[in-house]
Amino acid sequence: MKRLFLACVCAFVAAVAAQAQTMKIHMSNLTVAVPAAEAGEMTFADGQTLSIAGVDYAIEDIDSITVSPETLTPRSVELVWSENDVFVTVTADIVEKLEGEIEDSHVSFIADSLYQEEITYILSGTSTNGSFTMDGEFKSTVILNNLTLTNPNGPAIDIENGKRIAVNIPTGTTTTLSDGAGLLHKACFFINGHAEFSGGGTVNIVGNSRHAYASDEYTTLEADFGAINVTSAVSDGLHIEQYFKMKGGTVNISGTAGDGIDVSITKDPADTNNGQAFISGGSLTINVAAEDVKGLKCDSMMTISGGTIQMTVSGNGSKGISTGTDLVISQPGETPTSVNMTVTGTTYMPGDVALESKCRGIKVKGNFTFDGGNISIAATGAKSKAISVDGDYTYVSGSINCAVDAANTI
Amino acid sequence: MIMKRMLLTFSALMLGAGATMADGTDYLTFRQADDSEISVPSAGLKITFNNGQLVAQSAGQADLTLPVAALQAMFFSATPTSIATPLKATDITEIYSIDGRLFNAPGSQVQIVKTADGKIIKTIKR
Repeated sequence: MKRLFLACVCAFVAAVAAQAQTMKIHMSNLTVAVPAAEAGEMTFADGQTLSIAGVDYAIEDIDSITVSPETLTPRSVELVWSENDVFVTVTADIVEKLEGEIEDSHVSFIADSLYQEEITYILSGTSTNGSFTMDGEFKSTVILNNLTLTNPNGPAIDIENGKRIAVNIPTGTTTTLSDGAGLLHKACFFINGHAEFSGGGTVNIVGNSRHAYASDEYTTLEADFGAINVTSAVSDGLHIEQYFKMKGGTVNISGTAGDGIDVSITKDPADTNNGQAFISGGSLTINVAAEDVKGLKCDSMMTISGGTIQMTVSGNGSKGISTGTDLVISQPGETPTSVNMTVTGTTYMPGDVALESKCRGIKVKGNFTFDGGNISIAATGAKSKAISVDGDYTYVSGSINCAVDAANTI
Repeated sequence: MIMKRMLLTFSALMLGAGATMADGTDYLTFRQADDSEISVPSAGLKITFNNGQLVAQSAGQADLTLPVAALQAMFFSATPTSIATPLKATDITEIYSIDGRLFNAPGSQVQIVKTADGKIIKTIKR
């Protein structure tokens, strides 16, 4: 009976929620949505203007006004691409805080720099000639909801906002992004600020000019994250400044001419975790086939405390994992830590004093501490090595099947 | 037993809630220049503007057409307006009883006042 009562309560809550109405003012490709309960008195002036929730609309611009039983996320912008168009719905609470431009299927928004509320952008639909550009001075959320977007003339998604950008990819959705070739933009999917990825969906990215994905500050993949697939990039698969934190999800990278994941130190050395990479969960699979590149590289320290890393390193002079300073591989909890590699590349530019580079499964420029987990590396390429450490190698615990070539073993 | 009673009360509450919009927006009311008001159900409402006229279409209702220049405001409400459009005597074309007999017909207990476009203005019970 208790269960029945609770079910009844839930049904009632759902029924009430479903009853909320939204009024929509349709003007060509733009729709402004107002919760009907918040519309207040809407005044007409001279038969020319209709004022709704403090915003004046020229009646000649209005195609229609509709009322429907739906509840929109406050402070949100919904964008739905069709082949040659993009249809935009903006909630009335932010319509005067945004400056937007729509040109065919290319759309850009700049939020008022003084506006200090989070705006949510919800992107869906398909276009082979479209793009999304966004800027602002306050954190934002971007939801990629079954979006397929190709921009032959630039990046597919360009987020110039330098604050926290929560990127949500809902479970069960797939987003595919592709950019134009031979252009100067940094990445097909670029975020100027720091990005936090969540949601169980999948995003596929191709970088036809430079990187597939890039962020100018840190990028985090949350434990509930779905998948990022990079199938091709002229430069790096993921190019990340400050730090990269992978708590879960799946990352598959192949077909890159540059590094799989490149984590760089920012211009401000005081930035937190600058140049570091943290892998504590999830599955990372990288095919390192290009010459003299790295699968997972960071300018500073790398900490692997969980997750499964699988790499195929066939490019001459390439490395599976490369750290600027120390590497720690451990298994602090139940989450298994696993590093598996096949290394078949040989030496890149042998004999060239400046350019010669040897193939390695793991290259550590500082110290390497192994304290739990499983490392399995098969290095068969001529003059290749499984693990090369410039500093000290400290073994504490864990299973390892290969030799560690270190300056000093503790 | 108490739980059963609560459940029944709750079910009744749910039925009540289902009949009206939870946010009190069941009707959209238009106020005209002469302060008269007219309401239309808001569910599924579509408003268009054409040649200086506002046309409101609601499911199962006749279209409402109003001159935009004569509109003051519109607003949502939980109930339809109680301020009727002031009628001139010439607006009323026919007065019928509910059984279709003309006003003052013998035995008529209820009369309906209709305008030329068929809109029912008033129902009078004797």
